[in-house]
Amino acid sequence: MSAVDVLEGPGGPGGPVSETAARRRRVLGVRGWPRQAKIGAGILAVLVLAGVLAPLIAPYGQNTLDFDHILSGPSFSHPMGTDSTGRDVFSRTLYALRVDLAIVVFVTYVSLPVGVLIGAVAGYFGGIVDAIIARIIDTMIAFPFMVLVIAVIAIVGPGVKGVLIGVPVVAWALYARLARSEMLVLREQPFMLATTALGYSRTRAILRHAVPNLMRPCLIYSTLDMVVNLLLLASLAYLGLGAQPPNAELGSIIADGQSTLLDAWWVATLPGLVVVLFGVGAGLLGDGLSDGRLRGGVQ
Amino acid sequence: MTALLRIEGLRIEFDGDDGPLVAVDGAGLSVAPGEVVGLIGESGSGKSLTCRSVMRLIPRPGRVAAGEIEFDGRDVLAMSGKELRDFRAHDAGMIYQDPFSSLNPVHRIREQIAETLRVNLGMDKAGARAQAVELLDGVGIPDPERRALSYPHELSGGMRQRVMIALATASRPRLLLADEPTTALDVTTQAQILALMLRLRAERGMAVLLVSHDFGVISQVCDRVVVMYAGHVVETGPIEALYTNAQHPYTRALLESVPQLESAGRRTRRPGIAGVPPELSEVLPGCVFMPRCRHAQPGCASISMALQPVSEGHETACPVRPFAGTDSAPAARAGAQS
Repeated sequence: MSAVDVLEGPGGPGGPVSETAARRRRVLGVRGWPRQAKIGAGILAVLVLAGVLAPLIAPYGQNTLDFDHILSGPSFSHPMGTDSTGRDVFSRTLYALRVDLAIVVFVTYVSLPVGVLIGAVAGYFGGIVDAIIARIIDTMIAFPFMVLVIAVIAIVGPGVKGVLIGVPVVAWALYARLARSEMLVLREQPFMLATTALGYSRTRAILRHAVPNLMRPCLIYSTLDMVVNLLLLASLAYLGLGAQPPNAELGSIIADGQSTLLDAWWVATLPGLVVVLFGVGAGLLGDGLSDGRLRGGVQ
Repeated sequence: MTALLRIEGLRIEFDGDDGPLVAVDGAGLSVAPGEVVGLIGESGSGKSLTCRSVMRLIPRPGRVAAGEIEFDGRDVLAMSGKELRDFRAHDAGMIYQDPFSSLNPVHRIREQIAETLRVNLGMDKAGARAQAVELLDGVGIPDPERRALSYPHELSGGMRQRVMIALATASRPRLLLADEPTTALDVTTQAQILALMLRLRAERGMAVLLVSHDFGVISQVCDRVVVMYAGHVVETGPIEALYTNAQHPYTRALLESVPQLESAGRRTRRPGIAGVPPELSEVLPGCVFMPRCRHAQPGCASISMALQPVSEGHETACPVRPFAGTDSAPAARAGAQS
C-alpha cells in the first residue's frame, strides 16, 4: 500500500528526507535563502548590532563637545570626523542608529499586524464590510503620507512620540490592502472552505488558518516598508520634527551638516551613507525572500 | 429503514442578468445510515452543488430557492448559525476533489487534525495530538508518528487525501460527503482511497454520498446510484438494477460510453452522446435530455421530469421506456464491440 504513496521531499521525489534535517531547514531557514537575502540580512545585522551596542562601541558621548577639534576630517580618532561643535560624528551616528532603528521597527511592526487583521477581515467577509474597509484604505493611501504624519505630529507635538503615533495611524493601510488582496485569493482555497465544513468559527478561520498564510507577503513587504519609514523618519528629523536636539537622529545630523557641506562634507555624507546602507540591506533581504524558489509551501 | 439524509425537490438558483439561472431543479435523493450512494453526472449537471447544499456550502451568489434537506429528521435549511456549525462539526464531514489545496500549507498535519478534535470534541492538547496520530494510522498512513509532523507539501496526493479523510472523519460524523475524492488521483491510489472509505463505512457505520463522473468508481463502492443530468435526477436505483436494467436513455448512454478493456487495440469508437448539455439559461419544456436522446418522441417535449417507479427502489424520469424488458449490460458490452 505504502509503495505507491512514496514521500515526496521538498526537492522532488528524491526519497525520504531525514526528519531532523527537514525540520532544521524549516526552523532556521537561513541556510536555504538566496545569496542576496543572506547579504541583506548580514548588512542589517551589522547595523542593528552597531545600534544596540552604541554605548559600548561609541568612542565618545553623543553630545560630548570638543572645541579643539571642530570640523576635523575623518581620522583614526574620529572615523567620521567631527561637526561644527566638535562632536564625534561616528558616535552620534551610532546613537542615532539606535534610536532610529528602534522607532522604525516599532512603527513598522505595529502597523503590520493591525493592517493584516483589517485586510483579512475585509477579504474574508466581502460584501458591504469589504466595500467600507476598502474605501477607508483607499482614502488613507490616496492622502499624502508625509502630510498626514505631520498633521498628527502637529496635534501631539514634535518629538519621537509624534512619530510613534503618527506613522502607524497611516501605515496600516498598505498592509491592509496587501492582506485583503491575498485574502480574496485565499478565501477560494479548498482549505478555507474546509474550515467552514468542519464547523470552525469565523474568528478561528481568519486568525488560525488565513492569517498565517497572509503573513509571508506582508513580512516581505515590511522589509521595504522599513526603508520607507527610516527615510520618513530622517525627513521628519531633517525638518526638526523628530528627536529634539541635542539628541542625535540620522536626519538631524544630516540637517546639521548641510550648512557646512562644502567645508566638511563628512558631517552630512557619512551618516547619509548609513541610511543608504540600511536601504540596500533591507532591499536585498526583501527581494531575496520574495524569490519564487522559497515559496515551496504553497503549490 | 428511515433515511439519514433526505433531499426533496431541491432547487438551486444563481441570479443572472435575465432572471435566475437554475442549476439544480427538483433534485431528490436519500441516503440510509451506513449506505454508500453514488451521485453521477457530467460536468455542470449539478451533482457537486447538490452535495455541497447538504452542508449549506453553496458558493455565492447561488442559493437554495426551494426544497427540503433533512438530516436525521432535522431540517438543515432551517438551522440557525449555532446549529449549523454544530451540524458541520459533528454530523457530516466533507472531502473534495483537490487534495493539493484542501489542507492548510502552514500547519503540520497533526496539528490540523488535533485542532478539530480540540475544537469540536473538546479534547485536551496532548490527548488530541495522540488521537491525531492514531487517526492517521487508521487511514493507512505508514509510520504515522513521524508523518504526523509533516507539512502537507511533503506528502503525495494519495497521502494528502488520506489525511483529508482522517480530518473530515475525526469527529466521527455519520455522513461523509465525498465530492469527486479520487478524480485527481491515479488509478492505483484511487482504488486505495475507495477501499479506505469502504473500510470506514464498515468500521463505523458511516454513510457516504460519493459524487463522481466515473461509473467505474461508482460501481466499485456504491450500493445505490443517483444519475443527474442538467440539474435533474433522471434515474435512481440499486447499482445492479441500473447496470442490468437501466431505463433512462441517458443512463444507458453513459454506460455505453464507459471504455472497456475488450475494445483495447481495436479501431472502434465508443458511441458517446451526440450534442452538448443545455446551458443553464436554456429552459427546456418537458424532458431535458430530449434534444440529445436517440429514442425521443414528439410527446417528450411535454412530459414532466418526475420519477416513476420501475421496480423496488428503482425509479426513472423517462416515461417512454424504450428499453422495457431489455438488459442494459449486454448493450454496454455490445457498444464495446461494434
